[in-house]
Amino acid sequence: MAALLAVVLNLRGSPWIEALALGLGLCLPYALVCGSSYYMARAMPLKSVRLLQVLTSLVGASALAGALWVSAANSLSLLLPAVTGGRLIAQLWLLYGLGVAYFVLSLVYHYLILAMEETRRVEVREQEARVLTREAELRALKFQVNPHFLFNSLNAIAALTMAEPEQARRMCQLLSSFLRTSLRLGDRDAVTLKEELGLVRSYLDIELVRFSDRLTVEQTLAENCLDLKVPPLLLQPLIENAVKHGIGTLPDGGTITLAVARESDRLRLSVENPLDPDEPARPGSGRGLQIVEERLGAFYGQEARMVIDKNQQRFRVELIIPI
Amino acid sequence: MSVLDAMRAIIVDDEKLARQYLRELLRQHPQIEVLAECKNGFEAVKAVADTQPDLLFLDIQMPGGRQSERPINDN
Repeated sequence: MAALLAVVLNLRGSPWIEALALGLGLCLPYALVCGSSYYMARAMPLKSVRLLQVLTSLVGASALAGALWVSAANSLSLLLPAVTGGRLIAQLWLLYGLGVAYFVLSLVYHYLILAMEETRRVEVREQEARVLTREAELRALKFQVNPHFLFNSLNAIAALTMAEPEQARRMCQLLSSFLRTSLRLGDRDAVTLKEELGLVRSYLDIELVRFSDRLTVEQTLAENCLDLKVPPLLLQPLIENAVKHGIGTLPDGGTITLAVARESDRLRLSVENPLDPDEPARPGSGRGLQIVEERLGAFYGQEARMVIDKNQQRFRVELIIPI
Repeated sequence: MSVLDAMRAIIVDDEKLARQYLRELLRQHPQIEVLAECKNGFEAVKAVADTQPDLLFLDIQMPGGRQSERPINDN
């Protein structure tokens, strides 16, 4: 700004030294005046309701600032006639134009800065809102013990109490251990795969009592996966689904196959069960899987997915999770 | 009601424990005589046709549960 003024003054006949000194001397204090336009911009946002009023004030302020500057320059040249040699007086209109232009530019600059700050604030707020929504979703989707499972287990215990009290007692212990583990894991953000498999085991122990020889389980677990972290209670609902909608519909039962495999950057968890081709879908089927899919989305966004492969005889669900 | 003209019942449930439990509960009611236990709907249809029971305890959430309702009613 000072350099521009110096060049202009030089062109209009002032020597270089004088032009530079005047440019600096006049522009530095004026920079402070222009700086005040930040507060104007903040106090008078460009809203359509009072736009005319605001614009009038801004134009007035620019004119006033220009006038102040010119009178300051005028006083300077009167005080130091030797320095300026009266040459500055001749440039007062030019000076006034520059002063107004500088002030307007400074206003525009500050309005832009404010707009950018506002945009950033809105972005941060949006992001915070997204995080909050996600947390709320997670809370809502948090694992809850399936009431039917509890009900069936209690009935099994009731049935065992008279005929096989030892077994009834063991069943109580299994149920208590399952409930304790699921509550403990469900409260955490992530658990190791080993912990999740422990929960699956304790769930299956209970179902094995109920289904006895109708249920068999085959596991293929890659050892190098066991310490990987996964969201809690993703695998157990898949197994529960396989028991309820697969084995439970088959008179002679069948085998559930659980496989855990690791690829370079992802983990594959799959559960497969046989189906009765003639059995109509039971009410509530699909809800458990839907919750698992929503939780995957909430944890990993687009990076994880659930793949369902179903035909007449078998049902297979696979979770693919980034490591 | 004497034991002679007790209600004749069939228990149908895919879970052995559930059948066992129901039978135990019914033992307290001498007017109900359990004729048979079935573990799925298909067995139930056959047993109902064979024995014509007065009372049927049928779990509909089991293999062949719902499909057995109509043939049993037809009997």
